[in-house]
Amino acid sequence: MMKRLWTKLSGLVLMLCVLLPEMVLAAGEKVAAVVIVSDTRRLSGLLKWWGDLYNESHIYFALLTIVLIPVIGLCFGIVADIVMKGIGIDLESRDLAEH
Amino acid sequence: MKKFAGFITAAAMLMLVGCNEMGKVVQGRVVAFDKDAKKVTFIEDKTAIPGKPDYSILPPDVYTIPSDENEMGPAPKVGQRLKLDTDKNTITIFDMASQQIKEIPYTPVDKKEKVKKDNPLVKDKKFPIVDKNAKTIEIYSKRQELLVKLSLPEEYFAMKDETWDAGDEIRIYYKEPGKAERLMNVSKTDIFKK
Repeated sequence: MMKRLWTKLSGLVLMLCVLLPEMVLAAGEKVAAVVIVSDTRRLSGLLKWWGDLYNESHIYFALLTIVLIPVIGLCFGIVADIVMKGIGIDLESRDLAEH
Repeated sequence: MKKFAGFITAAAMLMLVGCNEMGKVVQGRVVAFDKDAKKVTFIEDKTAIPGKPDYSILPPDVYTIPSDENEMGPAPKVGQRLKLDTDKNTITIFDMASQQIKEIPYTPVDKKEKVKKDNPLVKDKKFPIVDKNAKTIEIYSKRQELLVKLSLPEEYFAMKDETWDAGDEIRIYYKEPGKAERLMNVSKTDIFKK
């Protein structure tokens, strides 16, 4: 019971430190927020959509990036598997080579 | 495989959410800024090529700045100089009185090239330096890295000093023309600064 309470309390303190940096002693002086608008004037297609999404909502942009990174990683992994198979590296079975 | 399908579904859902009506981007050089009326006036860049702007679209665009101050960068500096051509010895300004773009020929007095912003010649100095007695104006262009001293006919010295200064470059994201959703001060934003 006490252990669970301590875990919850520690988690809460950690979360406050992360979410409220001004409360942490290490926080520096306040800096003006940087406002960026993505220049999509000369873009078209997917790149334009990507830039527009950034301008529309930073949250959607961040969420989509979070989702896409593992998906792209998986695609690269599959391609690497295919290439390795093609050049004769067998990753699906292994022979014990201990003597 | 189920996890992978979940990711794909989440990505597709986010893409659908992102398919809301997107806004547009416009960029230009500020010639007027009314902080109280919350309106910014700028001459739009025709080329959209980085480093090779062409501020020549008239009439000037007038936009209301974002109501949320977190959606706006530093307040833009105002200036009416649009172009400084040291090959043709002309200076192009936006004339506030006639609301027209004017190309004015000048007599060169001095010109220094490749003058970076930390050069002692320009560091901590406020440009343009208008000398009404000598009828000269000293202009520094950070983008072109040019320090130019020029002479103009007397009639031009009745104009405000800001006429010879370049206003800040701003980029606006909007959905409804004339109303900025987000405003970036390109001149005062260094995305590489730590």
